[in-house]
Amino acid sequence: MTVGLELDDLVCQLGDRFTGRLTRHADADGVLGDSPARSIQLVLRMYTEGRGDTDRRDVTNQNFDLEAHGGLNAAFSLLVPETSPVSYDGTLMRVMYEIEARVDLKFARDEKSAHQVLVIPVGGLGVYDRPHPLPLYPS
Amino acid sequence: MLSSPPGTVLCKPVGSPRKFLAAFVIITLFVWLFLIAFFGIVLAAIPVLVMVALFVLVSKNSLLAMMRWNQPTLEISSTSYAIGSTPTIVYSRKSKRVVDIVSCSVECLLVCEERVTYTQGTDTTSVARRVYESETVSPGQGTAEGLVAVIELDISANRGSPSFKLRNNEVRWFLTVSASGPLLPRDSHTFPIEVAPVLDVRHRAGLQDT
Repeated sequence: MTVGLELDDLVCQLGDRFTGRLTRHADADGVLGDSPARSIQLVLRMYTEGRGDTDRRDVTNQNFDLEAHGGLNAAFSLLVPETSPVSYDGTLMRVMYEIEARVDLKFARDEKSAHQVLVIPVGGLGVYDRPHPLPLYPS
Repeated sequence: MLSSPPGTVLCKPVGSPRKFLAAFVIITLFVWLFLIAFFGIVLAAIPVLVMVALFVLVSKNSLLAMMRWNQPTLEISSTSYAIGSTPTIVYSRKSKRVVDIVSCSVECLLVCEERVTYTQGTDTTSVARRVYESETVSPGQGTAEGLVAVIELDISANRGSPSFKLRNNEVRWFLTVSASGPLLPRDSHTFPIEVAPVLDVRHRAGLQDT
C-alpha cells in the first residue's frame, strides 16, 4: 500500500502553509484490524546540493495516527517559517525543499513518498515560478 | 556615543586596522625574541626590520588613514532590506584634524557572495563566489567634521539570494566603500548588510508596469 500525497500548490511563500491531502488505502479488505502500519509522519525538509557539504533540516512536521486497518484520508497544513531560506539555484549551491510522507511499518522498511516543492520570498507569488534567481523580464 | 535617525542604525566596518596592527606588533615581538636566542640582538633585528618594512609597504594607506581619520560609519536601515529594493544609505567619516574637502566621490560596491564549506578527508575547505556586484559612485560633501555621502543601493531581484547562513552553506551581502579625492585616505572598508527574503513591492505581480 503506497501513501498518497496530494498538494494544493507546489509553491509557497515564507510564512504561509503548504496544504493538501494525505491518503493511504486500508490494508487487505479494510476490515481486519491487524495492519502493520502505525502512523504517518509528514515532513517539510530543506536540504542543500552543490559543492559544499550538505545541510539538511526538517523545517516542520506533522504526525497522523492510522486507523487499525492502516487507512487514512486527512488534510494537512505545514507552516513554512519566515526564518527559513528560500529555494535557490545558485552557482555553488542549491537550496531545495521537499515534503516527505513516511509510513511507520512494524517490522518492515518504512514506506516513503516525496514531492519537490518551492519556497519563495514573501510577495513572490505570481512572479517566482522557479527557484531564485528570478528570471529576467523580457525587454 | 553614536546616534542615528529613527529606523536607522550606525554600522561600523568589519575588521579594525588597530587590531591588525596590534596583532602584527605582538607577532613581531615574539619572532624577535625567538631570533635573539639564536643570533643575538643585532642580527635578530635585521629580519624584524624587513618584516616591519614589508608591513608598512603593504598597509601604508591604512596606516596613514588611521593616523588622520576615524573609522567611517554607515547609516543603514534597522530592518533588513527587501530583494529588488533601492534603499539609500549615508556614509560618513570624521577627520582627526581640520580638512577642507572641496570635492570628492565615494565608491560603493554592493556584493552578494555565496560561501560553501566542504570536507575532503580531514581537510576542510571554504570556497566563496560573488554572484552579484553593483558599483555606484556618489558625490561626497565636506563637512566641518569630515565628509558625508548619500549612496543609493541596487539590491538585485534577479541575481543572488536573500541572506542566509547554514552550517556549510551561506549567502551574505556586504558593501565595500572607499572615498577618493584630494586629502582623502585611500583605504576601503567592508560593511555587512542583511537582505530579507521579501520581494520589494515594485517587483510584485501586477505592479511591474507601475
